[in-house]
Amino acid sequence: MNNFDLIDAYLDNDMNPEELQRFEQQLSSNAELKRELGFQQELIVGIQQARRLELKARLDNVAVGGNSVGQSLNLSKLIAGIVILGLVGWGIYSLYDDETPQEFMPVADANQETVEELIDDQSENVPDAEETPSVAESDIPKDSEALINTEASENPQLKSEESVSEVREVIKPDIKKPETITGFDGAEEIADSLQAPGTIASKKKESNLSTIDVAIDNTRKKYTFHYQFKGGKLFLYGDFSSGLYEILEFNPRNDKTLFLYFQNNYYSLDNTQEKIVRLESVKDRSLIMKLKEARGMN
Amino acid sequence: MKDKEIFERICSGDEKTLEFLYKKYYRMMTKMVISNSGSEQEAKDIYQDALVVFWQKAVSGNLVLTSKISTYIYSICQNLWRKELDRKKRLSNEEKDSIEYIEHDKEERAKIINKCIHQLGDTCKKILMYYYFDGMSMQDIADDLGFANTNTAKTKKYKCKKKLDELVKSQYTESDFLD
Repeated sequence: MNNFDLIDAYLDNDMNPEELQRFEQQLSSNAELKRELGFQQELIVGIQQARRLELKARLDNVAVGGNSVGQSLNLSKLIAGIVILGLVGWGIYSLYDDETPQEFMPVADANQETVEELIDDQSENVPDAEETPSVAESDIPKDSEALINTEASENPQLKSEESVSEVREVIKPDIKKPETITGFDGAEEIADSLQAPGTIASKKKESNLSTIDVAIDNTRKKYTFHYQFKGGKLFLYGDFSSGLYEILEFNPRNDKTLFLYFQNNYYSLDNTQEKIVRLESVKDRSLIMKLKEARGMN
Repeated sequence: MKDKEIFERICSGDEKTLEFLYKKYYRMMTKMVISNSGSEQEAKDIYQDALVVFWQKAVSGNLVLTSKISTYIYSICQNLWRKELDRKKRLSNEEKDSIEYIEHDKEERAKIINKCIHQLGDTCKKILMYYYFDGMSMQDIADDLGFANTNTAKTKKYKCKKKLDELVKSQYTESDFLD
C-alpha cells in the first residue's frame, strides 16, 4: 500500500486494530506521511466546504416571499403609496370620463341593458377598478383638494366648491359609461352568435376577474385559509398552490361585492375586512348558481 | 407538510424539502438575528448555516429529533449567532491581525481546493460530497447515483478522491498547502 491508500483507509476507518497501530507508529516517525495526512485532511475539509456552499447557494435561490418587503416597508412609505395610487386612479378616472359623453349617446340597446344588469358595471370599470371604489369615493375629495390648490394658484377664480361639484359630475355620466363599452363589445359578440346575454356577461367577467391586487402568504402558520384587505389589496393566507383561484367582482363602483373561487367552492370576501379572518364558503344555492353562471360554468 | 414527513424527507436526502423548510421558517429565524443586532444579510447567512447543519446531521442519520424542527433549528441559529458575536468581539480586540491572517490563509487554501473540486465530473463531485459531507453510506450513494453495488461506489469514490488529489497537486505547489 502506498501512502495515499494507507491514509485513505485510515481516514475512512477501514483499518483493523493492528493496521491502525502500525499506521500510528509510522506516523510518529515518518514526516512525509504526516504531511500527506495533513494534505488529505485538508482535501476533505475542502470537499465539505464545497458542499456547504452548494447547499447555501441552493437556498439563496429560494424566493422567500414578501417577508423582506414586509419588513422594509414602513408606515410612511405605505401611506405615500396609497396617496400616489389615489392620485393616479383619479387621473385615469377623470380622463376616462372625458371620453364618455361622445361614446355613450348612440348606444342604448335593450339587450345590452340586460347584460348590463347581469354584469353590474363589470366590464367598463377596468380603469376604475384599478383604484377600488373606496379610493374613488373617499380619496377623491382629498386628492381633488390637492389638485384644487394647484389649480387655484393658477386660476384664482376657481373655488373648491366648484371643483367638488365637478367631481360629482364626473361620477354621474360614468353610470352610463359601461353601456357604451358593453354595447360595443357585446355587439361584436352578438353579431357572431346567438348567445344569451348571460353568456356574454360571463365572458366579460372572465376578462375582468382580476382587477384586485392579490398577495398570497403561506408563511403564517396560524392562518391556513384566511384573508384580509389591507390598503385595497387582498391578502390570502394559506396554501393556494394546489389549484387556481379566481376573484369575482360585482358592482365595482358602488358597493363592491367580491367572491373568491377556489377548488370548486365560492367564498365571500368583504373588502372592508382589515382583520385576518377565515374564508367562509358560500352556502346559498341560488347564489352559487348565479356565481357559476357568472363564471360561465353553466 | 408535518414535521415528521419533513424530517423523513430530509433524512432521505430530499433537497426540495430543505428549500421548503427554508421558506417556511425564514421570517422566524432571521427575526431572531435581526432583533439581536444583526443585519438582514447576517440573519440570512446564519439561518442558511443552521439549515445546513440540520441537513448534515439528518442525512447522515446522526439525528434523533426529540423536539419540533423549528425549535431545533432555532437553537442552532442562536448558537451560531452567539459564536458569530463572540468572533466579532474578538476581532475588535488586538489579536485581530493574527487571527485574520490565519483565517485568510485557510480560506485561500479552501478556495484552491474548491476550484479543483469543480473541475471534477459531476458524478465524482457528488460521490465525494455525499460521502464526506452528507455522511451517506456507500449503499445509499450506490442507490442514489445508480451504481450496481456498494463495491462499485467504493471504487468510484477512491478513484475520484485520487483524481482530486492529483489535480490539486498538479495545479498548485505543495508549499501552498503543506507549509
